[in-house]
Amino acid sequence: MEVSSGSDYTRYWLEYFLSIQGHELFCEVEESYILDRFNLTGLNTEVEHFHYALQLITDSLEEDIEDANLRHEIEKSAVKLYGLIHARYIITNRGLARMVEKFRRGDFGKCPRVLCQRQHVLPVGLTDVPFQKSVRLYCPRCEDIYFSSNKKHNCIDGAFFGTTFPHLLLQVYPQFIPIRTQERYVPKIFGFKIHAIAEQHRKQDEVYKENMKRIEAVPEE
Amino acid sequence: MSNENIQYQEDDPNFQNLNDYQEEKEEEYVSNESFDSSTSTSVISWITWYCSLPGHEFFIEVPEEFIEDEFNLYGLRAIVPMYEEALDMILDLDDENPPPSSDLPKIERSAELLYGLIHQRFILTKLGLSLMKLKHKEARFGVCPRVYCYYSPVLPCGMTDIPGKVNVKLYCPRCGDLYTPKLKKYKNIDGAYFGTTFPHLFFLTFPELLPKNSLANPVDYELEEKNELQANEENNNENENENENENINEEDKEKNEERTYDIYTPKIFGFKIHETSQSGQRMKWLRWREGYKSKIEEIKTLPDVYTDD
Ligand SMILES: [Zn+2]
Ligand SMILES: [Zn+2]
Repeated sequence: MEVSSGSDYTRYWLEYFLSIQGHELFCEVEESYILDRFNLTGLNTEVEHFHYALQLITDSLEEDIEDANLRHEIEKSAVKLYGLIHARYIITNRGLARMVEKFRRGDFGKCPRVLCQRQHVLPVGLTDVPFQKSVRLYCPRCEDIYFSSNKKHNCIDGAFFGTTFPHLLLQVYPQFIPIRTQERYVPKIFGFKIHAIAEQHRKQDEVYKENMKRIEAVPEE
Repeated sequence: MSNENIQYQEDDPNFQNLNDYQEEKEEEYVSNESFDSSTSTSVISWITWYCSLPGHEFFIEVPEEFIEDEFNLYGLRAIVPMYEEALDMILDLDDENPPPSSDLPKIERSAELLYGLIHQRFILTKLGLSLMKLKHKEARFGVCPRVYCYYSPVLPCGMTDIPGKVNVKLYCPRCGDLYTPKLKKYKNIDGAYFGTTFPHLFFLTFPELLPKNSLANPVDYELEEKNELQANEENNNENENENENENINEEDKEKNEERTYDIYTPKIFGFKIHETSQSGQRMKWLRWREGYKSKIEEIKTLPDVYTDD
């Protein structure tokens, strides 16, 4: 978990939220970002009980909510609100800086593909609309997306990370783009290649060559 | 697979040499009463016990008749230390002169190695393949972690046939790639006990079990479309009632998912990243296959504003 920087008091709700198993994928959104109404544009219509939810995540809920149902709904709304703010925050410069640190540490996990050699992955959404698909993991080495091996991640909304985040991060921090090789797994039976698969591999190589030709054709600036 | 590819796997920290791995397991199952298998009081056979240990779910029980046939064990005597004692342990045979109990841990380790190597051979036989088929049908080996493989069942696969080198991996026939098992308990299972040939001989033997759109069997989309058009015309000619049509649509949906083959396209604010950008796609070839056509229409390329320079 990240040590809260810049705030000199404990953020109770946030601490609780980040301590939930599976929530290590989230970073701590700076309070000043949450308190800037400009950053929350449009969220008041998207999140039910917006004001209560905002008060809850900033530990400023003054009223005692007696109704258990309402209390429960507000708690749900708070998660959604924080998630949607998170999706916006992590594509800002400061958010990217926090997330790149987590990426470097391997907080998001590793690519399950053997040839990726435990490359660190990044969380990604398949859609920016909430409550559609759970979070997936993007591997910058094989450029593919995977299910997380952590079951807890299956119930984390992908929209809380968004479709843009990992790709913007790599564009802003190109030093974290891994070397992408032409390595591949070649299935063999008693040491012999399988014809149908070898044929596809040969054609894949052609796709690769064409791709590289197009890239090299662009004059350097 | 070239040797270089295998090399780095050997220093996989998840995989220790056989000795460490035995010790770790002893610690883990020390509370398990049945661990003391060497005593003849246990009612279940060594093989049944061994295959029921946590993490050993990928193994099948090799029939005793297979192990008793010297021909099937050819060459193993030279690889496995304390071969005779290990073989006796696997077959639950009581020796007239039992080995000193101080030798037991060594014999247990050897029995495990011997069983693994016999297993590697057995699963390539007709009977072995069909027993593995039963497990595969229930997806007991798990499914591919790749999102666009749509939960395609995988098979255990070794990266080398030499024991003590690389832990077991999973082969997905749909993308034709190898993955690390997600559960920790499989990370100490030797890949050589399944071997490099098994999954591929499996699909050569049971080609009908290859997923609809696998690397070895890509879908020809043009032909598919033509067939679909024809089928639709025929459907339209028959005056079916609406309910039935709905059912067909449901079926079609399922079929489509089976057939669909997608490649992930990274996008920034909905725009494809320009190929020439440093963070542009370089690995599209990896998931590409003959007949592949993205159903998503060509997406606009990211304007220059966002490309890094
Ligand atoms: Zn990868
Ligand atoms: Zn796959």
